[in-house]
Amino acid sequence: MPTDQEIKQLIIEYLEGNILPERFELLENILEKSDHAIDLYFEMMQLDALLKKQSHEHFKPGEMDVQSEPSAEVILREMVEIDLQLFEQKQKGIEAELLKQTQAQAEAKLNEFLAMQKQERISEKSLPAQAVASSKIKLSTNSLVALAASVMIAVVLWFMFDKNVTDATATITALHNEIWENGEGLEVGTELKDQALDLKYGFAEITFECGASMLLQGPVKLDLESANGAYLKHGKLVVHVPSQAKGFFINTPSAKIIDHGTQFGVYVDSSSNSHVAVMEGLVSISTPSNPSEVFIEKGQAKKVVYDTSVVESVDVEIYHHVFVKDFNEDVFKHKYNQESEMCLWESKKCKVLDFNSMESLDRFPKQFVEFVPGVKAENINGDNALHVYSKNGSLNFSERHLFNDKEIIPWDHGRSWSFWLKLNEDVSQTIIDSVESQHFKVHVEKTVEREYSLHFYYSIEPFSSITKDFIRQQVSGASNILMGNWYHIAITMNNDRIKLFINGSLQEAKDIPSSRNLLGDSSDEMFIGNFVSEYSVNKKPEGISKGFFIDDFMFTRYVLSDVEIECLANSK
Amino acid sequence: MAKTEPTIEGDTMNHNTNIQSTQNERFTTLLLENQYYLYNFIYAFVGDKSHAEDLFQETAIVMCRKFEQFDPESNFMAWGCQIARNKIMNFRKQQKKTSLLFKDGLFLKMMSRSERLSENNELKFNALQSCIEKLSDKDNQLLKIRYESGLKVKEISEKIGRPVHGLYKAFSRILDSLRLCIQQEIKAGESA
Repeated sequence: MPTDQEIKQLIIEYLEGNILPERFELLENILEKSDHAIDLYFEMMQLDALLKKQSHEHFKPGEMDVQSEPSAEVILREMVEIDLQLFEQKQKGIEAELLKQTQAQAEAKLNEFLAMQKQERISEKSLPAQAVASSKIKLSTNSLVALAASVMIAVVLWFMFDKNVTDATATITALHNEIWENGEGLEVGTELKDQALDLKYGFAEITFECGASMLLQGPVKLDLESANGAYLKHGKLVVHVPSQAKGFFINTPSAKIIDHGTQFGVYVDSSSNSHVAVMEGLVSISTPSNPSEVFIEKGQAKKVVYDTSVVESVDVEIYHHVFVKDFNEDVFKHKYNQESEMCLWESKKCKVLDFNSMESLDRFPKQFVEFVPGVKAENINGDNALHVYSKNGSLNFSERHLFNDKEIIPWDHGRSWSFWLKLNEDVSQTIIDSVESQHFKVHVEKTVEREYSLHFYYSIEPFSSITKDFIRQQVSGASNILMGNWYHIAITMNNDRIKLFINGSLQEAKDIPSSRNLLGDSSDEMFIGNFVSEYSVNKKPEGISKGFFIDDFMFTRYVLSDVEIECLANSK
Repeated sequence: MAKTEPTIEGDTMNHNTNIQSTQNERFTTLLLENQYYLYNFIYAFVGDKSHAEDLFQETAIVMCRKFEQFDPESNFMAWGCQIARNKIMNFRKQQKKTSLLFKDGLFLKMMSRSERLSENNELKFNALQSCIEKLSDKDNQLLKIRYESGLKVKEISEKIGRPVHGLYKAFSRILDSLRLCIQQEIKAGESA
């Protein structure tokens, strides 16, 4: 990695506009690999702007070496005056002849600036270095002001001819896995105006000229109604409204939602009911039958029933997994996916992982299942692994489903889990979870920065003939791992013992505190990534996976031997 | 000749004209205050002076037209950057792939981290004044040649007869000391 010194030199070369293609490539590579370099890049850009401003203010117009010519700033002020005159004339319905005169005046000013800018370019090209140095004191300090002035002239001309400039309502600013209905030409950068959008799948970020942005989650149908709002026919979106765009609205079949500076999600379901959840700030909603506004604050949610216009309060937690709030680069990495957020990465594209991606291998018929067959951890660099980032739920399965069991098969022959794991978010999270009559769980607990203990946990509640009650018995163990490294994890369980292996070495072995056979069976549901418990007491999600990579996940209906585990760990 | 009373329409017109005048003045002042930051925001993504100037101009046109939507209590620069962002996106779409433009993935990542260009500009500008005073005379001189004369490093090298590489190092060092000094000044101001 180049030093900060080298990065700074590259940035200065870029700033001066004389960076060579190979040096640009180097800069690009550095920025791609380091957020620190990006931050430094912007700090240098900001410092450069501060110095330019400082230099401009230090040399006031009166101090410049050529004082006879009017400064661009003075002319800019004149242009504002002309602008004002035009406005007045328009207000008064002034005669066409007078308007023409003012227009000519504006154009003359424009020519004056164009000549000024041209002179600057000639000076740069023809004058000797020393002369350039002195002449530039005036010219460089004026150039941006001149730009600003020409902007004002453009505005004047706009006032004259009204809508000569394209008046886009919004722009597509980001897309991911998008599939549009009749969406030819809808790409990042496409300007939109009064347009109906039908996003069948994936995500699209649209930024309005007022600064408000919305993240559409396919499937969604939306009409862009104006520069300040849209009509959501069906589907989900999250709107972020900066303070300057207060008043931004979303109309739905059952409600009008007006922003008061905030972030909120709107969901129009298949019955045209509107769900509104406020993440930040304040919004108001009104309905066709009740135009008086109902305010919703941060952390609150309301549902407007389509048929009756009744506004119901809803627990905002329900929407926790419904709305995708961010669409920045970090989130891109996670490759949100509508149906499942488990991605099998192929050529940097997320392929939805589902049961069809799993296959039973012939050598252990009906006893063995492996995700992502054929991909080895050594080749993946994260890109071909199963990337688990759980938002709306988890990848869940049951053995019975996987193996097409006609009958429920008990766990009494033991089970094994083998997989490669890399943590890429510095938080505690659940890796595997299974809850029914028994509870099996693998999770990571953050200990210190980037360090974790990996826990397995197994609990059963056998019925005690002595106490006449279910007695919870549990066993757990842990071993330390670091964030950002690949580890081979294997856990085996038979009637007596549960073992944890990391990179082929036994870390923990605990006796299972029950003489009974294992209580699990092939109907038990198992979750990877997240655990949204339908079985827990409060029926709420217990944990959200923030992101990890998992590869070569293997689940066996028998106990892997120590040698088999060593082989698996050494196979990379 | 009887004196005519001012009409309601006339009052409204004068009122509108006054509002428009004030709005124009405010816009001009804010644009002048922020022009360098906004220009550098654009330049950071396009790397070409003439393209950056064109985009700056287009951005400013939109800002001027939409100025009535701007909340005076919010950040003018952040608002400008938002508009500039759309212009830059559009510009990238039109450019050939051979242009010196950052790759899409990097571009989006940079966009997401670019807020600092609109952060604390005025505070930093004030801090810069005292930080410049702390520079040695020699460094100050170099900075003046670079920014007040608008010379590039290579041109300065020719002018003063110092090796280009050494000058790049010197500028990196000067800019870095200013950058750190500004950070310290702001911290000191916060804790005061």
